[in-house]
Amino acid sequence: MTVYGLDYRPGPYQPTTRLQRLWPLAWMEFRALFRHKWGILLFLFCIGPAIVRLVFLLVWLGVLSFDGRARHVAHDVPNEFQGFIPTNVGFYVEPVVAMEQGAFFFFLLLSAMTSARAIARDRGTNALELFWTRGISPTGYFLGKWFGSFLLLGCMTIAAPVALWAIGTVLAEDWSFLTDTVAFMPRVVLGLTVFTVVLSGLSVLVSASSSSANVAMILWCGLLAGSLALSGAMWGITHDDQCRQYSVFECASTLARACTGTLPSYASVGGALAELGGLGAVLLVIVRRRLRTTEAIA
Amino acid sequence: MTVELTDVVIRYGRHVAVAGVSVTFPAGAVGLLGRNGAGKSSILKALLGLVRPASGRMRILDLPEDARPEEIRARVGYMPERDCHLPGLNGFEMVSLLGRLSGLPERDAYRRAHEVLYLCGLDEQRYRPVSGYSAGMRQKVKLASALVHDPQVLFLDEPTNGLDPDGRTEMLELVRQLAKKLGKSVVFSTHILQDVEAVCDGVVVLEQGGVVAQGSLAELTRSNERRFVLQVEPADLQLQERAIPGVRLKSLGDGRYEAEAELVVAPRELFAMVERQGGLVRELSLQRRTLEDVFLGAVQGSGAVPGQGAAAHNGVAP
Repeated sequence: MTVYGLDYRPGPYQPTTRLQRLWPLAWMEFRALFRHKWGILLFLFCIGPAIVRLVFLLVWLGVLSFDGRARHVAHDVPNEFQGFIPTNVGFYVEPVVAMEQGAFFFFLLLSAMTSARAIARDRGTNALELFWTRGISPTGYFLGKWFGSFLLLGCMTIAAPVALWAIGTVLAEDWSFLTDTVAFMPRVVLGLTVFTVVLSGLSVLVSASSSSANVAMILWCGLLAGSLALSGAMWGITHDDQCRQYSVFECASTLARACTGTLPSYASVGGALAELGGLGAVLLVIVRRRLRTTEAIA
Repeated sequence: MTVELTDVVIRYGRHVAVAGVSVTFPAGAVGLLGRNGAGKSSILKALLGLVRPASGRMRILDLPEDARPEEIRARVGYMPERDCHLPGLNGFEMVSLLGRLSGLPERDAYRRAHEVLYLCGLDEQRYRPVSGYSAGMRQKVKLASALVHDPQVLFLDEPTNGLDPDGRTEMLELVRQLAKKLGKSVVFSTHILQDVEAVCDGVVVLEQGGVVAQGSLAELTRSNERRFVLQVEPADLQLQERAIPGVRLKSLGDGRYEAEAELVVAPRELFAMVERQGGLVRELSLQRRTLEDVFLGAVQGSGAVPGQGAAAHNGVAP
């Protein structure tokens, strides 16, 4: 065997801080989806609603004009369609959080294929042993994975709406678009960030408590879709709108809407916090057992 | 001294995995031997800061005894026994990422990843996904990952696991180069005694959570007796077992005898003894005391193993 001993040099360096070491982990997690063409296609599919909104925006701005009266028509839309007007909060928030607009499906699809697999996939290839014998702690590892997942999901839930707003601001004929929207955009960003942090955190917790990537995906889909089915069944029996909040996704939506000031009358922020907090606490207990360093070496 | 353990006790609940081990791993390659459950992995876990000892003291390099586990792991390299890789990454990405997680800045991590992959003979395959690597290449990429942040101390857990004879020879040669030419301190945990003999200068033998033998390989395999194997003619010749003072003969059948002789006994005395009893020596070979003898002698206590008694005066701690 050839040993290339002469090329191996001692490498003096200034070690990075513990916080700096988490960034490459997060960046690797963020990039994981884009390493394959199917991942890129999946991402493009999942930001489909934002692309549709972009068409709405361009029509509303008059950049795309089918009959030359798009913006004029927009003033006459009924209340149910106010969410399609780019100067309203709902234009940016509802495509991400509203069950009726397919947000649930796209979020479930992307999160199940990415954040729900993040840690379970590493466990499947014994990569945890490699990570935990490095200069990071299990908590740091978890946070790195969470942040990477947050960035990826945030592309769909935060960056896309903000990009729409930025495009609208740039393409608008005057400053009126900016003046009409600048007041609520920080709240929109805050609400969508809370929404993404909560759901990406839960999905990574599910991933960390699962034995394999497939089990994690099934558990996460079961949690989101199961709670949605339960809430739908309860609503069907009682016709009480509060039953909708049994859904984990709806709880996160409630927090986002609370931040943006579009909370429906039936929604309870306290109830959503209690449900998400309880779920997170249970998962955290399981994860603390599953991510013990003593398990790192066989 | 690179690694020192003093009265280290490791418990898992009520089970004592390591019972008061005191051992020093000097610079160079040291074999950590022991049967399953002897405490090898527990000691490695403790050294890596993954398990907190119930009592005792540990020192690694110049780090303080209360150093954070992350600080310790950033200074040592660990090659796991199990097959493991980072899903979806190629060899270069895996090694550079693990380097950055050990505290290397980005540019240094990239440079070092190229260097250690070259050192380990993976320069041609570094951009291939690790999931497609052969068993030998996976072992090499794990070794490259352990080396990327230039640790002074390397813990290698069964590095020749699953390798074919060529791959095993390559890996052992590489480890030998690391210890001899690059001055790394290597703690080589394995079941395969021949690997230790091929690579290590020193040995620590563990049994039931305690150290039963430690010292340099030369010291441990040295003996105050020599062992010969004789082939005599005629094959049915019956030699007297105590024909020469200081020699014990044991028949192995078919005219073969094993002779354990004190160092003062010359081989020609064996020839003469056989001639006196009406036979001829057709073959005589000197058997060296091997590490296997040392290991079996240490873990089984006194018994029929040649030279095992020497373990007691070569640093055995009961």
